[in-house]
Amino acid sequence: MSQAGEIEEAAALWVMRREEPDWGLEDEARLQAWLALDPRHKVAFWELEHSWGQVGRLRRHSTRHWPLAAAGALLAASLVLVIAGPASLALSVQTYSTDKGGRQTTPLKDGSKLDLDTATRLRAKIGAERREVWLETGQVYFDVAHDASRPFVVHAGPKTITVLGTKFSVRRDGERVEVAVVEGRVRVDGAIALPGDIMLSEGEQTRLSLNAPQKVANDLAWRDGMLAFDHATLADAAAEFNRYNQRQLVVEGASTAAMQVSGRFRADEPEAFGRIMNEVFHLALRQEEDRIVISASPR
Amino acid sequence: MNTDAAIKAWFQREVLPLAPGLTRFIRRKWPNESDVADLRQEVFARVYLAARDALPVQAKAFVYAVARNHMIDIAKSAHVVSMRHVTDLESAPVPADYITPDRTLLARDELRRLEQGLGRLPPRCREVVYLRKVEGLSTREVAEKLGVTVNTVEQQTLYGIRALNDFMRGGSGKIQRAASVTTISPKVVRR
Repeated sequence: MSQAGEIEEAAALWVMRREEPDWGLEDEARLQAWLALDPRHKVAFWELEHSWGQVGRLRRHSTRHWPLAAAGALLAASLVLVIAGPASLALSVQTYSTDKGGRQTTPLKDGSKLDLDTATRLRAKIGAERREVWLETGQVYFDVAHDASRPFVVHAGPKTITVLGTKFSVRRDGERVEVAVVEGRVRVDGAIALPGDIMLSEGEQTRLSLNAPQKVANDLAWRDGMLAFDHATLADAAAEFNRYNQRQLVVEGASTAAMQVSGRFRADEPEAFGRIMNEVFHLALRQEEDRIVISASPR
Repeated sequence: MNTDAAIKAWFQREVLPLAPGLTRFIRRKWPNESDVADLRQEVFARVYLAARDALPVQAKAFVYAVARNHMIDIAKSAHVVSMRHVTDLESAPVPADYITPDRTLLARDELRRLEQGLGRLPPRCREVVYLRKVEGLSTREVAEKLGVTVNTVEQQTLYGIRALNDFMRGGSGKIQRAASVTTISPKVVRR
């Protein structure tokens, strides 16, 4: 076999092993060492990781993608379920949700704890082999009880987040998914995020901010009922407030909307935020029944 | 200096879709078919090393230029081919980026080839790939579900990973297997 073939075979082994639930820090260190050994290792691994990742994009129920195999696999799956008995079939899926402005702490039966932020909806299924959460929309802080035999998997739209026991938050707005890690290790699809890291993905784009503990803290301010901004545009800040309140903040004018704000504010007090904008930036403030309009000063 | 994360994203998005054309390019320009896979991998490695300093704006022109230069270097140093061949290589045109098909088209080609590749995998291998990638099962779970050994599932998975990649990069999906994976596993995998 050519050298390229040997390297590719080793790379395939890494790609496969990295998917296993018992993949740990030590394994990751070994992989990184192997990658650093030779640039050919790196490109071979990146190539296989990419194509193998694409396989997961071919959807579950498409018989076009999965001729024969799908039927066979599903048959095998149902047989095993029947043999395993009704216990595994009886697993119920629980639904949890909050309204706009709401916040709720929910214990799961495995000992994990979820904090749901405003306007959030999720389903959870705690099974004997796997713990799974489907985040439909909103933001959740996960305090996952450690259990090496049962991976905890969060499905957030296009992203799959896998952990054993750790603390992190996930926010989903449609296809936009943001993961902030507080403690432990979090795997987002193929990438590993560590405490202080933030992973933001939108469509095909994924950005990983490494070692940004302040940003993680800002992302979690909602757990204290606060919103924290670091050079956010006024438009983005207003949009954040509007996730929590019936009374909407409206920013008029492109240059006003592009102004930057920093600081911590109470999420349920858009009025106070408006007053500060008025006092500090001398912006005009107009109170309407269900809106607060901020605009450039008339002068 | 670019980070590996940035290079990786660029490499997967801009460079990998060029693989089928690049392989054909190397095959046309190089006399020994048995060297093609090595050359392609070395070209990618050189592209990676260059990208650490700066990401090329025109990925295709850059990758083909690296390929051509690499073949010239190898041909000269190894004296494996005649000087006539080196001269041919040096005068070979490198495609410019303005005739590159849209990147999204290339990416769509990749997915289409991947789909076709799935259909051509041996049924047992396809089933293992399905259970891992769609059902999200681990090796051990797949083995239990199918009533086969963990080793069998690993062999099928490794074959699937490489064969599907080969399909996706324009190959026929025929993968040479080592006599046994265990010959390389002690070096890279903790068991």
